[in-house]
Order: sequence, then structure tokens, then C-alpha cells
Amino acid sequence: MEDRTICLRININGIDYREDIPSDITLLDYLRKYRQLMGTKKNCGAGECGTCTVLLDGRAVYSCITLAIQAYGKKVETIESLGDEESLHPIQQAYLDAGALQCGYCTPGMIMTTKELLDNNPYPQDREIREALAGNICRCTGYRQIIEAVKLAARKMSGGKTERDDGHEC
Amino acid sequence: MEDLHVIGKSVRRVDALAKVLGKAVYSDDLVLPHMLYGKALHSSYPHARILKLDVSKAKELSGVHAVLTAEDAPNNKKYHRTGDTWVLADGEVRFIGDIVAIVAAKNEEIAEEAIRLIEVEYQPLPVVAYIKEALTADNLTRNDKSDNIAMSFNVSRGDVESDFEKAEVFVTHRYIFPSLHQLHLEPNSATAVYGLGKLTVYCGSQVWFRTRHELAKITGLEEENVIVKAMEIGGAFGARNEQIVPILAGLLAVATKRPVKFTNSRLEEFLATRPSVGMEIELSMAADRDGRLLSKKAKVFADFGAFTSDSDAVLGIASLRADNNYNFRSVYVESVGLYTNHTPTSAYRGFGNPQMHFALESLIDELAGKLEMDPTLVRSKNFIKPNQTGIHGYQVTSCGLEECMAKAKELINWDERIKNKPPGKGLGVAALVHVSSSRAGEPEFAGSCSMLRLDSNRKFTVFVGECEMGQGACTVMAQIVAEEFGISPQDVTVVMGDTDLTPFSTGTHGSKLATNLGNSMLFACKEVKEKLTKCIREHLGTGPVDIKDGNIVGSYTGEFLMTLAEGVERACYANSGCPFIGLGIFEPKTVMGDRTGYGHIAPTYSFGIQMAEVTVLENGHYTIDKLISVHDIGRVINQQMALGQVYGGVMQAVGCTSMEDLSVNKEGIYQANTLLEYKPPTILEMPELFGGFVETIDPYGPYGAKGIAECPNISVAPAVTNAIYNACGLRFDDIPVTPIKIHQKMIEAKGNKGKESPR
Repeated sequence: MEDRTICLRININGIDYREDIPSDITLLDYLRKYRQLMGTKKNCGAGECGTCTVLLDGRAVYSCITLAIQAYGKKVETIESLGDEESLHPIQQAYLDAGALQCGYCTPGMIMTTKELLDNNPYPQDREIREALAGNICRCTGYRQIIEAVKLAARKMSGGKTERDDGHEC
Repeated sequence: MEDLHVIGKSVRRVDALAKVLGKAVYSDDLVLPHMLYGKALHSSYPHARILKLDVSKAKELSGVHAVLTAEDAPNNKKYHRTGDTWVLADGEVRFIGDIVAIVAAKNEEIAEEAIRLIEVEYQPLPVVAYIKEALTADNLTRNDKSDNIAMSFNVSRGDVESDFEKAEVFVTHRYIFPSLHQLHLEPNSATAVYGLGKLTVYCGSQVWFRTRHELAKITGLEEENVIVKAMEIGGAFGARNEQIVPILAGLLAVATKRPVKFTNSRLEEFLATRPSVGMEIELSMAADRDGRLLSKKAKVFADFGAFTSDSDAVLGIASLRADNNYNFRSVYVESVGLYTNHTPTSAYRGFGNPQMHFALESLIDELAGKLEMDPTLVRSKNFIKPNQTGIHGYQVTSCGLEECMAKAKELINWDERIKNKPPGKGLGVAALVHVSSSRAGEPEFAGSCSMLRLDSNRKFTVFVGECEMGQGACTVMAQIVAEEFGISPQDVTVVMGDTDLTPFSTGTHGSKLATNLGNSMLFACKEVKEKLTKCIREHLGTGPVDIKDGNIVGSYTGEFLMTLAEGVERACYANSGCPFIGLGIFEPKTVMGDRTGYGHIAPTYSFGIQMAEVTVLENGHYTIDKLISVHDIGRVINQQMALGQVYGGVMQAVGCTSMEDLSVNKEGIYQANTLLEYKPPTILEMPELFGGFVETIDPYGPYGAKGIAECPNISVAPAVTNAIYNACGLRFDDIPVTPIKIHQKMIEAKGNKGKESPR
């Protein structure tokens, strides 16, 4: 209950912010309460489900168990940083096309984890897709259409290429 | 096949764009000026008397606007139709999670601090943790009763004793199906606003009007002064049939006259919502030597938890429905619902049907073994046929069980693989039947009602009282309107759930929307079409016209006259701007179950076959390699979404079959209060999944469609346990089947009494 504040410098979706925040606020609560970025969802609050996933300097993190101050001086990307109605990000388009969502509550986190995967591994194999998304729980889809979406996004983002240079099919 | 424009196509979900953009607004995303935050104090005892409850320190804390206990809510005990339950614990607590007090404060931190300042003194009372303890009545879960029996009934059809006497083969077994958490990912959240005598609650629900009814009862307001408005819903699976959170928010808003948001933590979701009804089932079956099923006797014991929620209805379904898959000559069931000191239990995808299917489909497999007959054959011999009436009165119309079986067998290559099975591999099969909508909910009526409004700007808006919880109902309704008017589903706005705007509905349950709501939607479209074409004919002097492919055409010539948009605009203006409104009513010819549950409770019924392929290793570890799920759901309205329902339902069942466990200890404490402990399947646990459909075109479904949502969650468990038996010769009658259980059974089977039990 003590008002212990701390000065945060952070870049969120390309915009720099500098402000005083409570020292114990999580990155998730900071995004939702201070920045009104409601696309990042809260569920378990314990790093178990992945609905709150955002990218921190390009790495997927659970924002519910990351303190805002841990993001000091870093770049945060949330679902709002991807496409908009007029031009969807290829991953968002792929989730649409593959029907990879139902209730949609896990979707923002799932898409951000997919982005981390494809940014670092443009031609993932099935096993790599599963390992990358293992920390994001979806209760609705049974995951199959999510795997299809990730593969579709990989194809879209690599201009239709389906093989890596070393000849592995993705 | 007829020339359909969007029905049967994998049309994009109408809510998908908002969801991939992160712009769908769920309950907790709503922020209002001057909003307060609600928190609850839950019982930390499964059963205790409240000796002292002092909220004075909490009330004095700066920033606290209200602290409420049972004393402040005089209608507290009127909650739920059964009348044996409360919202706030009164005098005693009956489960961990029972709510003792609620607080509204200016922020969450102060609300939490206030909760800590509430002083409660408990006198612990004896705990009834398990069904077998509840049966003995040595200890009581409630002081107003002399036993723990919440309900009991028995049903007898045909001459069970005589059929058992005549039979040549008998099997009998006891099965345990545990209580499960539905685990929709979005925690329950509601924001209530009270002012000018009206209470508006923004939340997610499967039953908007029931939520309104309960809110009115508990707050003491007239129903006309309570409005429930829908937010985006992050999953439900039956769990949102009954909700406490909107009522807590409502009570606090009325007390403080400020907007109050109440959002459950994940722990509260586990402890204080309504998990599924755990059951123990004793089953006996009698057959002749040719494999014809003659009779079935069952005893069903159901764990209702501390109160009767919808568990009574769940027990009713579990006791009867699974029988309708087969031509039994007689059945007898004795069912008992028991109070325990657990969180009250209620609906979960399948509504009691997965529980009995697990028992029945496991026992049929055992019978097949005794008869030395292929388990697919025993089932096929006994399947109910199209246009037959089942033993409990279900008047089946379309039934594609045979075709589903054939298709599933082909997909898994059954005949070949069952003969040449590599060691450790096993195949299993199970069948299923479910309603395609049901009379449950409001016994007075069986149907659905839709309202369609067409405005001058050619905007189609659907108003219905059911809910979109992720299953795709909005898209299906938009597809129906799009089909009828030759437009794109994306051009249809669907309002699902706003008690001020939509017609009344019992809600979303019993896989009812495709059939019931879909039919009513068709009637609403028909009325709008008639009104529009009449208006164009009369006011625009065109002669008789039809609507075709999004255009107005001459009825006789088929000639293009104008676009639909132009026609609507001109007709509307000619009519002083009056929109075209269609009201669709679908009243299925169902028959409410009589006192014994005999009735024709759904307009039509869905069927399916589940098949599993597993590998069991010598150390007890096993993998589910493949799951085949083939369903007769009549016409498939949206292939991609229907497959999504199949994959999702099957994976939920993979969870309860192999991993998920709330595991209550003998003190009545749930040991799985987090996702890590409860263990829902992740993407790593996904086997190869195949979904398939047999499109029997049902005479009562819109375009021949039947419901799907609950079916894939039924009969996966027995398909897997039957496959495990097929692989290693060990039969499992309780789930989840874990590697440790298999290993222990392997050791027992070898005659070694478990010295080397692994850890």
C-alpha cells in the first residue's frame, strides 16, 4: 500500500513514454491501466496461460509476471502494433484465413508468440511450431487450425517459399 | 446438392477481424468514469460455522465504499430456481470458495486490503469430501437436513428382470468420471451501473435473461429495471449457465450507486464458479450370444457439491440420454444426487452425457471382448435407425451412425489395423448421441425467436437472445440471412444478448442454436422478404418481384430491376422510413419429458463416432497418436467452423481423459487451483486430429442442419481407454488415465504387489 513510485522509460509500439509508476506494477497492468492497451489479455496472472504475451525487445514474455520496470529502456510490442483494419499483418490474416480462433481470448497472445517465432525462424517445422506455442493455452480450437495458421503465415511472410535454404520442408 | 450461396462454405467468422486485431471488448476491458472495484472474501474452510464476522475495520478503510455480507442482502437465499443455495454465506460456509463478504473500493489494492481487514472466526465442522462419505450420512453437509441426498429417482422401461434372465452374456463394472473445470480462458467479469432506479450489468453469459432474473431477485429490483448487456465472451462451455459474478457486481453497484467492476482471479475461477458434476456409475448389461443388447441396469451417484445448481438436470441427462444410441429392450436406472462440501457443480459441454457415455461405451467394449466380436460390429448391430423412436421417447429423424462408423473405420483403416496390430499399439471406438437443441431451461416452451430488421441503408441487423461465446453462432446467423438475401455474411450485424433489445431466450445450451435459432432466423428472413417485395410491388409499380443474388428481379421474367440496396432504400422511403422487421418463431414439435424423463425433448438429434489410436509403452507411458471424430450433424453450415468445434471439443476431452484433475483431498480441498496443477492440454499434447461429417439432411433442421457444439466432447474418453485396453490388455474405469496408473496396473497384473511403484 505504500506509494513507492519509480520512473519508467519505455517504448511501446514505437512511441516513447516516460512516467512515474508504482514500483510493483506488472507490465500487463501497466499496459492495460496506464496505456489503455486492452488488446493484451489478463487471465492466470502467474505465467501459465500465455494470454498476456507481448514482445520485449523481440522476445515473447508473459507480461503478467514481468514487472513494468523490467522493461525499462526496452521496446514493447503488443497486438495493437500489428496491422489495422485496412492492412492486416500477415499473421493476423493467416489466423483469419485458417479459422484459428473461436472465443478470441488467447488470440492476441498467440499471435504475438507466432510473431516471435516467425521473426526468428521463417520456415518452422511442425515440431518447432509446437514448441514455440507450448506456453499459450487455447481451450477452444484444439490447436490444429492454429498450426495451420502459423504455417500459412510463414508462407505469406516468405513470399510463398516453403523450404528453407537447407532444403528442410516447413 | 441445391444451389446454396454461402451455406456450407467456410465463411470467415464475422467476429474474427476484431479478435485478431485485439479490438474485441471483453468484460474486463470496460472502464467507466468513477468506477469502483469489487473483491470477495471466500471461505477458507470446506465446512464451518461462522462464529464471528466483523467488517468494521474494512468499512473504515479510506477508499472503501461498501462492505456487504449476507445480512445486507435480504434476498440472498432466493438465488437459483432450486432455492437451496445462496450468493453470500449465511451463518456457515459449505465449501472453500463460499463467499463470506464482498467489498467495493476505489481501486483493486484498497479492495484487497479491505478484504484482509475483515475478521472472521470459524468453528470447523465435519467435512463430506467424497460420494461414498456422503452416502453414509455419518457427517452432514448441511444442518437443515438429516442426510446428504439432494435428489434421487429411478426410471424403468421394459422388463429388465426378464431380459436379464433371458440373456446369455453379462458384463458389469463401476466407473468414475471426475468433476472437471470448464476452463474458459476469460475469467468471469461484470461491470454494474446503478442509477435512476435502473441496474445495467455488462458481462458475458450463456443465459442473459436468467441472469437478469437472478439479478432482479437478489437486488430486490423489478425485472423491468434490470438490463443485462453482452460483452465479448472468452469461452463458456456450460460454465456461464450460472454465474455469481454479475450478481456480486450488481449488489455492490446498488449499494454504492457507482459503477462497480468485479473480475474473478484465476483462483476464484477454480474455487467459486461451477465445475462439472463428478459421477460414479455402476453399470450392468445383458446381451444375447449374437451380440444383441437386451438390457441395461445403472446406478448413478452424482456429486452436486454444496448446493444443487443445474446438477439435478445434469444428472437427469446422464441417467437417460446415452441409452438412445442403441436398441435396448429394457433399461433401469437409479440415480442419486449428493451434497458434499465441494464447490457446487453444474453444466459442462455435454451436460452429463460424457459421464454416462464413458461408462456405457467402456462396458460395450468389454461385452465385445466377451463375445469375441469386433467392437465396431457389436455397436453397429444395435444402433438406433433413422425414423425410429428411442427407448426414452426420442423420435429420431435423420441418423447417420452407420455412415459415421464406416467413415471413421476408413479414416483409421480399422479392419486392416485391428488384425495386424504392432505390439503396444491399440485402437478404440465409441459412439455418441446428443440433442440438437433441447427443452431444458424453460419447460414452458421449446423454441427460439429471432428478430431481423432491414433498414433503409440496406443494413441487416439480427436481434436474438442467445449468445456468442466463441462457438460461431453470430456467423451462422449471418450466413443464414446472407443466404436468404444473396448478400455477404459480413454485411449482417448480429446483436446477441441485450435484454432490452432482443427477444427473450432461455439462452445458449443443448447445442440448440443451429437448429432452433437457425429455423427461427429463416422465418424472420421470410417475413422481411415478403414485406419488402410487397412494398416494392405496391409502391414502385414493378409488378411482382423476387430477391435473387442481392438484386430485385421480376418474378416472372427473372429480369434485373434494381439492386437490393436501391430497392430497400426506395421501399423504405415510400413507407415513411419504416424499416422492414421480421419476427421468426420456431416451435419444434417436441414433447417435454414426463416424470420418468420419457419424452421427445429435441427437434432432432446428433450422432457421432470417436476413434482413437494409442501407443502404450512397457513403463506405462502412453501417447494418444490419432483421434478420428466423425459426426452426423445434418447439413454442415460452415465447414471450417464445424471442424473447429470438433478439434476443440475433442481436445477438451483429451484433457479429461489423460491429464485434467481437480483432485479433492479428504479435507475437501481442491488440490488443483492453478492451470499448472489442473493441466489442460497444451499444443504439445495434440495428437493427429481428424474431423469428418456425414451430412444427413435432417427434415427439421434449417437447410437440414443439426447441432454440433457439445458432441465432440462426448465419448472421446472411452475411445481412448478402449484403445489402451486394446494395446495392453488393461481396462481403466476411472479417468484421467495417467502413466502411473497404467504402470501400477501393469505391476498388479504381473502379480507383483507394487514394491517398485515409480515416482
